[in-house]
This record gives sequence, structure tokens and C-alpha cells, in this order.
Amino acid sequence: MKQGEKKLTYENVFDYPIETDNIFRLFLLTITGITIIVGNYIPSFLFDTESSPLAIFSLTEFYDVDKVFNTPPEIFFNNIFLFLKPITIQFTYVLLIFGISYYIYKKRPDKIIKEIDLILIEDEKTIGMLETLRIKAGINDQVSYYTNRNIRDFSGQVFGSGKKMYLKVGRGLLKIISLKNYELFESIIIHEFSHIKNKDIPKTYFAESVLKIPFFITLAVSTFVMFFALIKSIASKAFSSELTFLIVIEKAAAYLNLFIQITGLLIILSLLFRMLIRSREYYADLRTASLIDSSVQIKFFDKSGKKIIEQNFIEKLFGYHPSFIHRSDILKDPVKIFKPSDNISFLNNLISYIFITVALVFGVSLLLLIITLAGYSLLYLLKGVLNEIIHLYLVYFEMIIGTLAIAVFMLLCGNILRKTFFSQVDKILITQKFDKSYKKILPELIRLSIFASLGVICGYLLLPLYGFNILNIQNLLSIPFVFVITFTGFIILNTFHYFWMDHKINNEYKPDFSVPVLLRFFEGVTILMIFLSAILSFQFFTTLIFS
Amino acid sequence: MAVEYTMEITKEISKTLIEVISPDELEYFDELADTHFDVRKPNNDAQLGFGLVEFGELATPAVMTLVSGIVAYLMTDVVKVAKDQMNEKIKEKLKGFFSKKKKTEEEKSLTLTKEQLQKISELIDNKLKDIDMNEKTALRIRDSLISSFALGEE
Repeated sequence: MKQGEKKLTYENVFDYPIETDNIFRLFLLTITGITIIVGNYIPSFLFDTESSPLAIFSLTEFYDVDKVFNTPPEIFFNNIFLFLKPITIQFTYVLLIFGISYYIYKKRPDKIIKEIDLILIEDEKTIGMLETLRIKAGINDQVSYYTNRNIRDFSGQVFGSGKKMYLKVGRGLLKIISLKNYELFESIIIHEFSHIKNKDIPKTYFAESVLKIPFFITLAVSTFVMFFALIKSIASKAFSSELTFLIVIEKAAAYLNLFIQITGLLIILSLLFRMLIRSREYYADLRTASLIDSSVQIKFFDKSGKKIIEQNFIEKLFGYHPSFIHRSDILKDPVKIFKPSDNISFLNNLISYIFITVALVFGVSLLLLIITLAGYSLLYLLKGVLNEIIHLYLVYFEMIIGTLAIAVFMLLCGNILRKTFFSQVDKILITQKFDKSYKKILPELIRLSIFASLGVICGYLLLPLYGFNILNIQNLLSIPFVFVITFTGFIILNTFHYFWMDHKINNEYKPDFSVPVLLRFFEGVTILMIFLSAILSFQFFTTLIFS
Repeated sequence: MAVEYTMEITKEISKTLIEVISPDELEYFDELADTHFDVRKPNNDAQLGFGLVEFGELATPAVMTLVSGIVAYLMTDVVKVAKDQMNEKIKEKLKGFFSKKKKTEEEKSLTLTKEQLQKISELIDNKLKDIDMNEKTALRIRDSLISSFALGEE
């Protein structure tokens, strides 16, 4: 069969990798990262301690066998306490945030039921009708059915937490549409069941709870902590009569910078979250179309698209639903769902940059600390039992284990980035298989690489970490150099991935997107190297330009 | 109070029309009519939600919109009273316009001139353009409404 001759069916769409799953994973990891960063400011600002234990002690001190042998118990415990203090504060904060998020996620269904005043459907005939549609949609799990008191509510909605799933059927939908236009009723209910089938409930509602909590708590805590530190610092200068107008401006600028960065990040994460939810609507439409006659949905979207006033820019950005016209277009030609997106490419890399920086700074630090602390305690406790040579071997052994643990950790991070990063390139590949008019592969790859590089740069500007300052002209001047480095890396990697996959899949229309372990390893390491080069080159060029 | 009279008359006239146009909606007529005056709309952008803002095959909301428009026109241009002057007496008078039955000598004023009926017809057409509903139902509503008015002698 020649390329472009086969048409993508609704069922085929689900044979290909679904990019949003990886983005959701990355999204949650990035939120964790931002929470850690802000958690990191608490000990440094609030408790007058260094943010990282690495800044207090040099790690090598803990592997000095002589020192360990001569350390008295009170110094041993003091060292352990100094090590643990900042880490305990940071991670307690993170655990607290996630604990609250999980609690909110579990309580969300009850809150929705209360908020929109839902009533449990008990009428057996209605339950029977909805159960028939549940089975038709291929859902095996139990669903609780609710309705409301608003006869003008012609909509359905699914929600839930964990295994508990709920379907709200608006009173108007249940009492009027089900009688007057059963086809439409069926398509709305199957669409809702499709969200369950596509596993959208746990993903979106958990992500929503996690986003909401860090959004408000993190912003409130960071504002309070940083403002407290600002006032404290200015007050201490005032008392010692060293306060000048310039000092006040300098301190206020540092505060403002952090505030802009954290707010900017949280707004971008909210946008990404909405974008992910919107993309889940397309998949629910396509699942519905694979189960029942798609013309009902298409007719509905076409009609509604003409009647409803077009959303404005803000509504489009923050809305939970894509436009009816776009939804209709995708149903008419499902291959359009695989159109590569510049926005996703940009946001993917923005959050990837944050994720990988946090993983490097905090993940690797944490691993080093755990290994050091465990090794130090072991060496100290075995003091006098084993001789110095065996102690030294123990130190070497522990260092090897530590290095391996860090390597495995970095590879896992690289694999998460790899899966998300190539989702757009894989989309070009799928589109190319089903659409012979799609010939501009290289320009597409270049465009994706440009947006991906811009994402890295925005991640750099927004990440509130050591020395990275949005208001700093030195940092800003390094941008073009970093862009060239990242773009070169991305275009080479994207082109390689595209042509390797194209060669593998050829024209068989087989949705085999599995990649051999060795190639996954190579791609993961290369992506890590590009991100690492970006992080280092920001610092390098900033220093070079002004030296 | 005047607002309540306006709501009452809109509801009463609409119900009479729905009995003819779409009797299957009578079961939910009161609920539908009450929500017509409720400015709060259900959230149509709920997370993982899907549905319609308006159901085009439903006659009640459209009839309510049209009747309230016609009542407002009759008050200002035909009976010539301000909206806040609406009372039981005017309400009954306005209801009289929506009746095809032969008018007595006293009720002669409850008929419309050709121009007035033309205006009402234009008003219906303009409003129907903005209402999200299917053509068949729209035509049925239009015909029922226009035919409910009696023309006076020229």
C-alpha cells in the first residue's frame, strides 16, 4: 500500500502512543520540583540556615577515616543534626503539600456533589438505561449516577477519586433529551463514559488537586517567607545604621524577582493543565465515535460551532474545552489529532528544564546526602570493631554504590524526558503515514526544535534557583548562545529519531513505537547532555561576557 | 410587584401556547418557566463535562422569550404603559390580546392593527434568529403565536 492511501480510523488512534500521559507525569514531577524549590527557601530565609547541607560541610570530610576515628560522640550527633535539619524542613514541606493534595483529591467527589447539589438516581429504569450505555462503552467498573434539580442543565460530567467513579446527568438531559432525542443523549453519555475508559478521571482530578494546593500554598508561603526575610534584612541594616536607599532597592529587587518567577511558573503550569484537559476531550470524542455513529457528534459540533460566539483569547487559554469547530474537524479527519503542536513542544521543554534542574540539584544532592549520612554513621558505629584498611574499603565500596545509584537515577530522569520530548516528532511520523500531502518534514522538525529551545530558555528565566535572575541583564545576554547550543542539539536528535523510526516503521502502518533498550539509553543520555549543556552554558556565557 | 405580574403573564400565555405546540413539555413546564427567569446558568465548561447550553428541540424557552418580548411591545406601543406600572388589571388586558376568540364590544381595544401585527411578526422573526433551536419547531412556534392574535376592523 502506498503512503497516504490508508485512512486513520477512530479505533486506530488508540493504537498509537498517547502523548498526554507522559506530559501528565512530567507535569506532576515539575510541580514536585517547584514545591521543593520553594521548600528550599524556608530553611534559608526563615531559620537562618544554609539551604543545602552541602554548603555546610564538605562531603569528603565524612569519608576521612582519621577524622571519623577521632570524632567524639557529641560532634558526631551534632554533625548528623546539622545535616538533617535543612533536609527535614524541605521534605516535610513537600510531604505536607502532597498530603493535603491527596486529601483534597479524595474529598473532591463529595465536594462536587455538595457544591452542585446533586441527588443520587434511584429509579431503576433510569439506572438500567445508563447501565446499558456503560456496558456499551466497555466500562467494567461500577459507576454511581447522580442528577440535579436544574431542568435547563443538558450536560453530563464524570468525576471521582481512585476506584470510585460518578456520573452526573443534568436533569434536562435525563428528563427531556433522553425522550426527545435519544441519539444525542446517548452520544453525551458515551462521551462521558469515554473519559472513564480513557482513564481521565484519576489523571485530571489528581493533577488538579496537586496544582491547586502548590499554587495557593506555595505562592502564599513563598510570599510570606521572602517578604519576612526582606523586612528582617532591611530592619537589621536600619538598626546598625548601614541602611541606604540603594540597599533597600537591591533587596526589594531580589524579592520581586523571586515573586515574578514563582508566579510566572505557576501560571504556566495552570495553562499547561488546561491544555492537557482540552486534549483529553478530543480523545473522548474519538472514543465515542469508535463506539457509536460519529455523525451525531459531528452534526452537534457543527451546529453549536455556528451558534456559539467564538471564545476570546483568555477563554481559549484557560477553558476546559476546545472549540466545537476544532472538535468537528478532528472527528471528520482523525489524523488531525496527530498534528504536531508548537505550544506543547515549548511547554514540554519549559517544564522538562525545570524538572531536570531540580532533579540534578536536589535529587542528586539528596542521594549524596543519604549515602554520605549512611556511610558516615556506619563508619562511626563500627569504629574500633574493624581496622582502618577495612574501613577504607568500605568507603570505596560505598562510593561505587553511590555513583551507581546516581547514574540509575539520572537514566530514569532521561527516560521520562525522552518519552515526552519525542512525542511531537512521533506525531509528524504518524501524520506522514496517513497524509500524503504532508511533505515538509524537515521544516516541521526545525520548528519543533526552535520552540523546544525557547522552552528551555523560558524555563531558565523562570526557575527561581541560584543566580538565575529574570531581572539580571548578564543572564539575559547569555540567551542567544544557549539557544544556539540547545537548538543544534535538538535538531540533530529530532532528525535522527524521526528517520530511525521512519526506517523501522516504514510504510506498514504498524503502530510499533517501541524503541530498543540501547537506543533508548543513547537518546536519554543525549537529551540529558543537551539539558546539562544548557544549564552550564547559561552560567558559562554569563561569566564570559562580563569577565 | 410589577416584575412579578410580567413574569406571571409571560408564564400563563406561554403555557397556553405550549399546550398546543408541544404538549409533552407540559410535565416540566413550571420548572422550565421558572429557570427562564433565573439568570444563573449551569456551568458548561466543567472539567470533563459535556453537553448543550440550549436544547434546540425544546419549545418552552423559545416561547417564553418570544412572549416576554411581545408583552413588552404591547405594553409600551399598544397599551402605552410603563413597565413599572404593570398591575393585575393591565395583566388581564394584555392577556386578552393573545386570544383569537371573537371580541365583544368592550374588548374591541384588545385587537391589533395590521401594522401592529406586522411589528410583532418582525419581532418574532428577529428573536428567533438569536434562539438556538431547530427550524421545524421555530416555524411551529411562529405560526401559533401569530395566529393567536386577532385583527381589529380597519
